[in-house]
Amino acid sequence: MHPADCDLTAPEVVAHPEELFAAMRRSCPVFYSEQMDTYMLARYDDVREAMRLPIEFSSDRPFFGTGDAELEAIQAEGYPQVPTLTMTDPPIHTRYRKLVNQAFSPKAVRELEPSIRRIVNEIIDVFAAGGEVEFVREFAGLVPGYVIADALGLPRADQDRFMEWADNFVDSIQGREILSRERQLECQRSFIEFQRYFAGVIEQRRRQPGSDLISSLVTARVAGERPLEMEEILDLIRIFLTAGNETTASWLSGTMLLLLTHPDQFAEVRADRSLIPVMLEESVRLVSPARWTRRTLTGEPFEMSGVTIPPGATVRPLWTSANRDEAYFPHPDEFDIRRDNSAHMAFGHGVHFCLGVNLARAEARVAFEVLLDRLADITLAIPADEVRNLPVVGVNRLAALPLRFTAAA
Amino acid sequence: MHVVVDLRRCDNHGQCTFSAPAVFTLNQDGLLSFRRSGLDSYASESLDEDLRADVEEAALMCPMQAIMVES
Repeated sequence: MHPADCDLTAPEVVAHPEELFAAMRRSCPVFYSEQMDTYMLARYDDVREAMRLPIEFSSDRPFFGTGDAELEAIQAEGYPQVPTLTMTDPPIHTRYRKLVNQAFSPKAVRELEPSIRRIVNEIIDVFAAGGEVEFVREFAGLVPGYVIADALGLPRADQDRFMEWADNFVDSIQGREILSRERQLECQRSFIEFQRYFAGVIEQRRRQPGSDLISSLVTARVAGERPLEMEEILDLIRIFLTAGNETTASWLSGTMLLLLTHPDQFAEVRADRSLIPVMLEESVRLVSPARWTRRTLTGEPFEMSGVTIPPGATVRPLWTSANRDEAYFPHPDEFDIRRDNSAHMAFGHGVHFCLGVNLARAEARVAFEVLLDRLADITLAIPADEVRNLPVVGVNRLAALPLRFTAAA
Repeated sequence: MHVVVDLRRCDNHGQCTFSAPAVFTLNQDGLLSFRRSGLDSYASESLDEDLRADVEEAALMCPMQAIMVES
């Protein structure tokens, strides 16, 4: 199979692009897809080079719906969108990043750990007695959302709405070109709903700040001076919901599948819980919850792996592919908790390196510590080859992972 | 007070440049400015106490935990 002959939007390719990416690494590491009008970077070194040049490979891009009259009319009913962290370059990015970094520091996350543990236990309480669970929907999909809701100081009853908004954001990030018109309109309307809900919360926190993350955004001062505007806080919350939900959920589900399909290593981790963190680094490499990111080349034409990328071009550095590059990870498709995988880029690289990395790592570690404490004899309830991904562009999401287990004493 | 950076751990994410721009910078190639080939660690000159809060924040935020602040 040559990538040029491949329909990149075919559901099976979208759901499981690893083989396609391997073919790119072999034969066309910087692959221009006419279909998606984008240059895909498949090799580790090229991805890394793009990531350490955040001005040339710019994150600055228009918001979803810009230039489309109907979508702009919907947006006009909400608050104007202000780019903060994900769609900006230094020095604008730097100001916001400095402001929110502290809230996600190792120390801040350590303080959240008891509540993460409580949340994980409560989620397991719901299904523990039944001996079976659909792990994606009833566990992995809930943990990150509940943790974020808790950190933002929001009622869990509103959780379903956050998840729906987050899903719509994830779709809209992928770009208008790949969404149906109906989905485009739906995503835009959902965004206005999100803005109105959180504008209310922000107003309330301004009147009565608490100890939650939204309160700390309300009381923060940019460059030690001015408070954040409503529009800026809304964009930061959008980012927390988008970046922290789907990705961690995919990591948890993908890890469970890898453990179940590698029973020897699963047994090893069960016998020695101190292996959980290294096991999780190996699973996040293979899962690569975000399959790629998106940049725009600015300035001069840029040559990479023999291809000249023109300025203005959209570039997609492929995390999934970089994390399976044979040059850095021998037998890259193998799950091996003992390998040196410290070079993986599942959390990105450079100035935009995942803000929530400490939180995600804590969630995943605590989740597996508690799961191993409470569930014994975990097995797949369907054959392993029937576990499939959903055909969602840019993310690695299992459709379902039905499990059986016995509740540990 | 001075900082020591473990250059084997440092992965050039540049988060330290946000916390303590007076101490940490990335060069044009996006690499920490202290980086020299063959060098395993970097120890700064003695730094002004005014910079303590900034470098401690940088040490705290470093994704690779490669920065140590020594008195």
